[in-house]
Amino acid sequence: MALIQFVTFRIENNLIGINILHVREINRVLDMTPVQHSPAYVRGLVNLRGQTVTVFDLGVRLNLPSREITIDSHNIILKHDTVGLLVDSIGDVVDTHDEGIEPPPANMGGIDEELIEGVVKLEDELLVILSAEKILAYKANNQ
Amino acid sequence: MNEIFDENVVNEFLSESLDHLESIEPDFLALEEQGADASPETINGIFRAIHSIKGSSGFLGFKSLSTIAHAMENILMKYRNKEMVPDHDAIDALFEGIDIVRTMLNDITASNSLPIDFELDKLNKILNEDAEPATPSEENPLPQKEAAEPDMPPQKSTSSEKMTISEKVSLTLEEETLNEVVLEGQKSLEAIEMDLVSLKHEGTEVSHDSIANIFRAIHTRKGVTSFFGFDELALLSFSLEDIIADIKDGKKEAVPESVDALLSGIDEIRAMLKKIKSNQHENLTHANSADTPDEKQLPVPHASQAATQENANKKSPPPPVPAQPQASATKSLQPSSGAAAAKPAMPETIRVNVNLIDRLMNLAGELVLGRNQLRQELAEIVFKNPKLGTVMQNVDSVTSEIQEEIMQMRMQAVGTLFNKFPRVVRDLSRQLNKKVKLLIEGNEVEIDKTILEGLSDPLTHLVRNSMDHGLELPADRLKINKPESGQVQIRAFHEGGQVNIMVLDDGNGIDPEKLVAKAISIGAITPEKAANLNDSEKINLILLPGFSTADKITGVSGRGVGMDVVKTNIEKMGGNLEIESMMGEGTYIRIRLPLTLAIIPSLIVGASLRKYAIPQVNVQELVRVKAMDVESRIEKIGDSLVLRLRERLLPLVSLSAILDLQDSSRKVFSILSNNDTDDEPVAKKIQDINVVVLKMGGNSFGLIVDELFDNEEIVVKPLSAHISDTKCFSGATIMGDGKVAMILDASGIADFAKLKFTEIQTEEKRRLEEEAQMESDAMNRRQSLLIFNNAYTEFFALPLKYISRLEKIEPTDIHRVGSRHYINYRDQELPLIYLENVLPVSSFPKNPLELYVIIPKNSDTLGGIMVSRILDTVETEVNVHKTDATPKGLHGSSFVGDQLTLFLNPYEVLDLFEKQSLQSKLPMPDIAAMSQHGEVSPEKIIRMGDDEH
Repeated sequence: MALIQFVTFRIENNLIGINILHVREINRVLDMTPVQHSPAYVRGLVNLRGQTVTVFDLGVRLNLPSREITIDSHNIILKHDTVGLLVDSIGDVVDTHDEGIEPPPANMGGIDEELIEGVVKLEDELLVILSAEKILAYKANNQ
Repeated sequence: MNEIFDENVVNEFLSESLDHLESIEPDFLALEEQGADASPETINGIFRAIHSIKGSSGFLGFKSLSTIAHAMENILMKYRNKEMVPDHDAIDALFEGIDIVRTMLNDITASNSLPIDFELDKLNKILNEDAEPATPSEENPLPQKEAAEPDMPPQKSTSSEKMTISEKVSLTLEEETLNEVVLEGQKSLEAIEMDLVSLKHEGTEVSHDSIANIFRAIHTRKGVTSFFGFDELALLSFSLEDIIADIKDGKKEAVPESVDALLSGIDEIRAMLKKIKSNQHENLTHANSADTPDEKQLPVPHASQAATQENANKKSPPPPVPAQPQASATKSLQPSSGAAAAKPAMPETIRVNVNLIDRLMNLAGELVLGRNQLRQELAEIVFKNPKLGTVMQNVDSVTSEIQEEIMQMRMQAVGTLFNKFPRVVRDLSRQLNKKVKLLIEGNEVEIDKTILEGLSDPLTHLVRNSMDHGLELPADRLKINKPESGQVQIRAFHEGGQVNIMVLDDGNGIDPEKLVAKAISIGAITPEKAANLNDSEKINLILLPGFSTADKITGVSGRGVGMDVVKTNIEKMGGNLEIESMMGEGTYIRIRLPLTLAIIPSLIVGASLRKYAIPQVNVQELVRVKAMDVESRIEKIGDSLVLRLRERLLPLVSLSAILDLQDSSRKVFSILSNNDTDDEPVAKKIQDINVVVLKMGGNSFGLIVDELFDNEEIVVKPLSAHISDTKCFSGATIMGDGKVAMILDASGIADFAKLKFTEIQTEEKRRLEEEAQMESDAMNRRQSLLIFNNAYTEFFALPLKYISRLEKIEPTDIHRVGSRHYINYRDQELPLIYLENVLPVSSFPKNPLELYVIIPKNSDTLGGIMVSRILDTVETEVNVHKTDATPKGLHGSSFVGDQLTLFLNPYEVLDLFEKQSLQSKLPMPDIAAMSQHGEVSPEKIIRMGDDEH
């Protein structure tokens, strides 16, 4: 019975979480340089203290519309591959026990099911847990 | 036994030994060259290296390695003692020995199972066959060093011979070598001491590592010192070594007492080393005659006594250390000792992991960015507070310096790579029976480590090619009046921010026809295409895959993979390769490489308000096409736009279009490519166009960009896997403002745009031919000609199509400025050309009946040709003869009617006129004089600056 912490954030009103162990930092470095002819889910490159970080438009990655950048937008920088995820807004860190994670229901509001690791039932809504690994996996056909 | 040693110990031994091997290879070559005159330092250097490999490997249990090293050492000993003279076969054997040692070192765990009999036999044969005639009495091939080690102290009688030798060696030693020995000694002593101290603390639970370390260090000391003739040092070391060996073998325990003895032994050695250093030379062998027993006792270290006690079975107390350096020794070295004292110690080096340097470099990059941002943010405050300005400036310069220095850390001299070639060339020349002189230049040129590593294979390949395919056999060379031995040159130098490396040979050169035949036979090109190639293009066929033209495949080269691989490897590193060759005279290969892969000079361009970087190596030139010229210079061939640039057609690509950006230049592009006929004329919508001409390999194309910025040095950041296959970019970088900019990949863009270079080249060729054809046809077709005079006796013809206007003028219309004549033509001054000034023809008449001016087409104000009489306009079929003697300015001559008529080339005439008027004053006919003859009244001629008559 291990305790797992999730960084949560919102994309189109979905509450989504990602294991905190995969997260390096969260920032608002949003001055992105687009990379033409890259896969559609690549939003661009940002300069993170001298390192170039490839930022994914998490909306596109999850099969949802592309995200608009607002004053709530954030980048979640993952630990691996120096990839960042552009999200609409940032939520709390949620603690849960691993047996609290349930398999995803059939319909997840259009989110690509392959990327979902499971769901956690919170008091008033459902937290969708994403698999960092699968998000990072290169999807050649996604153009 | 090696398993029980810490990996670190073995690794250290390995890297040290490999370094040794590298350093002695050139010495071997020198040895071969100098033969009997080989300098003692050379032999010493080799000997020391081999000996320390022998010692360490023996101790670590690598028996084969030690055996081979021992055999080599034996031979070297003979050289040192002048009992043998190095010859080619011996050096061959030694090289083979070195090679097998290297093989063993590279896979040390398997070293003992590697068969070494062949090499060993060879070495021993060399030793024996040479040894017997030279010193038949010598039965024991063991080196004399071994003889110095045994239980018996050196006898005066037996050692006297050796003394003279070692004396000679020592006296001829350069101080530098000596200093090195001392320095090295002192360093290793420190290390030994530390290990000893830990030994003392650990007591019986000693680790094998520390014992191994101590043993190794002491053993090396022993070998080195005995070799240099510091016999007392050697013997002391020897005693210490024995103790350690006993501890190692478990015969003795590392009790504090023995460790103490060892430590004081070390102190003693250190004292001796110090003395050697201060006196430059202290060779006890000199002392023997002067030494009294008292003196002997005086300096004998109690450590040695302790050591001796520990080794009851060893009877010999080490020989004494003299209190005073010997007068003779001091005297003989006096001149050099001063110089040596002034000489600074060798710069110290440490080994650092490359990853660490890479990370440091990244951090330095971040630091620079941070500094830039800080500077921007603080600009206002700094303005108010000048003190802060100084601080900022300081941070500024230190940051830049840090970055530079870290870059420098990655740089290595190409010499480290070049140094392996003397060996390669030597081996090959023996193998191929060719005589070769190798010239190496520019060893000191520095280049990024990564590039240097990548350069090794291509360069080796090129040198091999030169030797195998390029150079002729000595006999053949003599036949064609070339010096018997061929020459291969490797040169490195800086040029234009790049490193150039050239490989030249004076061999046979590359036969272009042979390459063509081969290319056709492997189906690389069609015979038709081949017919159109010029020699240099033919030679470049060698870069196609699968080429090998050597008649027979040799062990050296010619396996059919080759130049294309070389080229690919060079291009991978951002470099390029050029080949030139003259049949019978040699081949010249030039490689251009960037200094570093991490930081590259780039041109920053803009498209749609974004900045992109183009590596400077790809940029050939920048062209600005004026808006008014766009229509005439840019056109469409097939699907592609081309720019007419000088004689060539350059395919054009718009950066914005390629990257799907919306902006003005894209509009231009689409207008041009669709040939849309809008209401407005195209020219009004378009502005000047900036074209960056990019080159990759033999092809070039133009990239239309919106803006051109500065050249900048950029730090290349690799692309993540998600975007690495976007063809157009090779990387990313961070600009001074902190934004990320993409680095454009020239060849990727060409691919992406599907540029059809061949199509355009064919068109280009067709046009050139057409133009040439038209030129010659033009004169031979039925033409309308204007026939006129300059001098009345000579007839000129000019096709009407060249003529814009024919103006009748009056002498009064001629204005003179200095020596030049002008008329007012459409409110502009038009210079007048008298044909005799530009062509070898008779002069314009002094009093012409009429005056005309021909204004050639497309040259409105360049000049008008003066005509003294119009004879006729005729339509006729003419056949203009042009010979080599036909001067510039004429198409040639032909008979029109029955008059020999000279056909003018008006553009060449204008050209000549312009050149001449730039160079000097033109003599003009004196029209003032001619006016005196009547028709024109003198006062009508406006005289300005009339200073010549």
